[in-house]
Amino acid sequence: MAVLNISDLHVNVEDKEILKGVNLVIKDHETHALMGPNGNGKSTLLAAIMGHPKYTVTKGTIMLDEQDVLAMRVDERSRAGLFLGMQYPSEISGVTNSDFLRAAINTRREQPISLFAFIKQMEQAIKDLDMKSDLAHRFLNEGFSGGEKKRNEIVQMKLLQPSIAMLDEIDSGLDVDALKLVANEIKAMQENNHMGLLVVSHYERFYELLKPTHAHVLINGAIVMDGDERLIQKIDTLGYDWIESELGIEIQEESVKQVSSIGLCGVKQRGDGQ
Amino acid sequence: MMQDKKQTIYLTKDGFQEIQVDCDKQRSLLIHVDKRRFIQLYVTYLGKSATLDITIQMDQGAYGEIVFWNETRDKFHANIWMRGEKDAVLKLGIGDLSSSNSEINICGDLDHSGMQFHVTTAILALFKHVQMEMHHKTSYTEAVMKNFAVVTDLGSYQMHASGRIDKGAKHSVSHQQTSVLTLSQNQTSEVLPILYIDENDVKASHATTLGQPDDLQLYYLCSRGLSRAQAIALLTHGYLMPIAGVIQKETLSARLADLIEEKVMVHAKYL
Ligand SMILES: Nc1ncnc2c1ncn2[C@@H]1O[C@H](COP(=O)(O)OP(=O)(O)OP(=O)(O)O)[C@@H](O)[C@H]1O
Ligand SMILES: [Mg+2]
Repeated sequence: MAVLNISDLHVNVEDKEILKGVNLVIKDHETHALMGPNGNGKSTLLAAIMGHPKYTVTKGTIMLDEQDVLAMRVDERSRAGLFLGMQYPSEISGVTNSDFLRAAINTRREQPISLFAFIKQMEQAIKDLDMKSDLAHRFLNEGFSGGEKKRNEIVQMKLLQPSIAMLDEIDSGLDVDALKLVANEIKAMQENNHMGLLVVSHYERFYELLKPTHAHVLINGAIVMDGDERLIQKIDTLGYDWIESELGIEIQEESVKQVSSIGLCGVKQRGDGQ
Repeated sequence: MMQDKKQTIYLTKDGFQEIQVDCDKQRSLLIHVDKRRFIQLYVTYLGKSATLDITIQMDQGAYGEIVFWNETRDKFHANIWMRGEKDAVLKLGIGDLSSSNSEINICGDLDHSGMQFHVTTAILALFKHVQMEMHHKTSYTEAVMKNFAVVTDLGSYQMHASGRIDKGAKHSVSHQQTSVLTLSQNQTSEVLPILYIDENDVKASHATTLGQPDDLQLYYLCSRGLSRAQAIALLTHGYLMPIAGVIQKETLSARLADLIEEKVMVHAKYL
């Protein structure tokens, strides 16, 4: 039984407040769809839950059962059962997928997993996601296509068996067949281990396959509307404008200037770090 | 008093060989690869302190993959001279993750056409200074230098690598790349890539990256349960792994991968 409880969460990025009091409860076996226009804080919420170093929680709490998530380091959060399938997973040259995953699995075991057992598990996961068999020996995400990166996130999720999994636009870059495959894998895993899911996507078709039990709309850093599958369908046909007028709010569009400054920053960082 | 001892290894047969050199007993080493041989040689340097002159002579059309692995404990001063004849190809790897203070000089004389020298260094630095020069004296020669270093707390790393292309050495190729991962603010790393080019009709390049582990990469690794120290150890290992591929032999690559892991874990404990 896992419950993730987010209460009055405020998050800053570079001194700018992005999340302004988010409340959300995710229980095991539930599937929550998180929607909202671009740049309104969906990824920020997921990153803050996982503990991304750039995102500072200024107020509020995140509890996983009785554990205070905000007091934990990123790796502790992972070992406690949280998983984030990222919108833009890092590429790491020199580190093979299999070395990385074996290390990750071993962090949650007393005795290291045997090489034989590991290879069997990894090969199965690779097969389930219909990926090329050399995946294990390739460097982590290096030179992967967009879709391969996303599938690789799901391979990791399968091997790590989280109790609460957050998936950030895991469907982007997948073609129709891959979308179905990935959705089925996620569903099957959930049937098996009853994990709770928090899924961000702009794609109604993906939600249709995942059958969310709950849906939320995040606008201007707060969840302004909750519902179920019908809410997803309504947004799919009507967009977000009706929510604006219904609630009397105005969506602050992401300014172009901000985006380009983030881009430069990102490039500089990468250049420094390699 | 240490005696001047010379050893010659004359390689006249194809295949893999492994030798250990006790540096406390030896001062100079000549590795001579016979013409048209295909050899792989793995040399481990043992002992406390070394002052070594090493010459690698590649006869015509010889192909060699040679790795020097330093396991000396205090001091390692080595002069390495690479030379050869027409169409000789030498892929040299230097792995130095030792506790020694190292000063390594490497000179490559590319004075016959068709010669190729590829040098790969993998260094975990407490105190490691390397100078190398690949000198193209004639046309159709190629040098590739790839340097990977991880510099630890209080470490000092120097890499001065130059490609020198004389007038008339047309169609020569000189590439170099140095990547340095610094694990502390408290270290000095100096990378100096130099190209002296006296000929127009050549290909040359150099690239340097130097910096701390990437925050986003660390975050990604940690988000799967690895501690920061484990994540850095994994990145470090990845950084140094190219040395394990210089000799194309799976069992040796696996051994070197384990050796690197062992050394890296010793440092990771302090992170
Ligand atoms: N690392 C960062 N540095 C600076 N600003 C950031 C950073 N990450 C996000 N932001 C800003 O925070 C706001 C919310 O971004 P976020 O990525 O959470 O949006 P999103 O809802 O996931 O959008 P999308 O649907 O496009 O993925 C945006 O204005 C964005 O520019
Ligand atoms: Mg996003």
